[in-house]
Amino acid sequence: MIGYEIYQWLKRENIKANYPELLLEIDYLDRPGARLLEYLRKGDKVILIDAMKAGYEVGAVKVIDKEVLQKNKLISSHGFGVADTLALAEVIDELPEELTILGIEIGGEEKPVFGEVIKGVKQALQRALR
Amino acid sequence: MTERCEIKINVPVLTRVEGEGALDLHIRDGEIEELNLRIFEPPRLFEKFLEGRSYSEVLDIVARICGICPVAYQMSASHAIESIFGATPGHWIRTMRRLFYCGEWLESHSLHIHLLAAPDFLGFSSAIEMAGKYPDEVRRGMKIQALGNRILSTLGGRSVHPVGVRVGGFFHAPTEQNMGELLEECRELLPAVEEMVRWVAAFELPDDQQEFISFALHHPDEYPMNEGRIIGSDGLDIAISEYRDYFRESHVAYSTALHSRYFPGGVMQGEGQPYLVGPLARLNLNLDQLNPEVRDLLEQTGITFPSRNMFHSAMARAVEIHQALIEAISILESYKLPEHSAIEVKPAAGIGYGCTEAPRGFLWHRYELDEHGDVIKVTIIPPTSQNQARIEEDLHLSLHNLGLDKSDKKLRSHSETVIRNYDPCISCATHFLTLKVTRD
Repeated sequence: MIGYEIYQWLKRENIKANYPELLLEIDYLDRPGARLLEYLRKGDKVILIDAMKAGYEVGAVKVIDKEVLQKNKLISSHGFGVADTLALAEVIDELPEELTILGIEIGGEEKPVFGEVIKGVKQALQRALR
Repeated sequence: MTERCEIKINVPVLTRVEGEGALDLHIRDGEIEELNLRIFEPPRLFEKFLEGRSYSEVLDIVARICGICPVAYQMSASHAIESIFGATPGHWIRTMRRLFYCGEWLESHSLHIHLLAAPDFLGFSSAIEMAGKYPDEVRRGMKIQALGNRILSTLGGRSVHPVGVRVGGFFHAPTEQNMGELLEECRELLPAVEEMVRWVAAFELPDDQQEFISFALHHPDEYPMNEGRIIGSDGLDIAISEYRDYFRESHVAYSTALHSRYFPGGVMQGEGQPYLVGPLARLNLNLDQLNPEVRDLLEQTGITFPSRNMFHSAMARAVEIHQALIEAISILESYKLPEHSAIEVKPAAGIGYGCTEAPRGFLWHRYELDEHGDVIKVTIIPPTSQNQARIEEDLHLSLHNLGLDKSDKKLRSHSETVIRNYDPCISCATHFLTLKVTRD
């Protein structure tokens, strides 16, 4: 649910207004599988925010290298998760000019502190949208 | 600066329709002693979730059963509930429901052909590897899928788990301008779809002729999607309300999934038989309902139907993509904004049935509602459940034909190809199969 909460926050904060020159579009996707390709095509610069389990503290926000992502085994609908779709997009030359992947560490029972997550997301977005 | 780290992404697949599959194969003295396809079907729980809910909530809930074929769930439920209420949506709603279904067939079939099945038939271990050699074909497939999704979101508000439908019709009608734009996209893609049909026809498919009984909906005036009677390759011809007089689901010890079987003399008579639903069954039983343009192109390919080669399912999917696109164009060409996008319905108590053709085969629903339209009891029989016994039967035949002395690797890879050919909605992952072979 952390992804949905961030999506709501982005909408609430009207983040688009801060970057009028960028024609920002914000989409929330529920495990899109290969449909992610349709969204990657929409812009030159794409920021993908997703949950991850990489051994960081719960709530940590990290920029993920897509090559690292692709080395990790994923379980997803129809065998096409984020890493698979990005790999496919690369092969058929459909990756956006700039792609930033933000991973947010999630835990089992433990819920990330939303305020901390948002702080990290905000900083990462500022860097990515510069 | 980018930071490198180990990543494990947790996607809770067990809560979705596409669950996990495994095959246990026991070979003794060169014969198959045991062959169990073990799969798990969380969507069965939805029948209980629905109890006590208002009819007005049903379509949003059943759409959540499947991320690939939500339209089928919504349409089967709509028809069942409307039949209880005595509601008859008019021509516009009926036509838009057909367009909605075209969108689902386009997206689902295209996904299966390009990302799941084609690597098997072209000798690749994955779609990503295949895309290196066939980038244009994969791009084309993704465009077809995207168009299907566009149709779904135009009518349903969004393509995954659409929210635009209601009992009695749709919450909104797309503008003529929106539909005009969609029409242009459909027309532009038609040559690519025709190319795709030729591409699939050229696959070197295994020639695995088998005897099986097929069932599909049949409508006198159109290729079946939303309405019709259930017909069979053995001559069965029944109303959808009679389904349970001839078909029954039962538990098997090794799986939480139910197996459906067909009882030709009625459910109390004799032993049930495995049967096939899905694109091959539909096409075999509804050749005459194909659009003439679709039939012409199919004839040009030289592949003839009815076919007893199970691997012609891939070709049947390609043909149905062509059929769905031509139908979508025809519907969009005559689109007019209606005065109302839904009819008002009056809740009533009763029992109703709905059966529509999901991409993987017909999806049967039965609803029992009280006088307020609240759900008392629901039965949902998805196509994958109906095909399970047939998949096991197919595996028996196919593995024998292949040769049981082949390596575990070969047996596994062939088994996966056979199973994927049915496009099972439970475990469509490209490499999902854990095969355990024991040999005595």
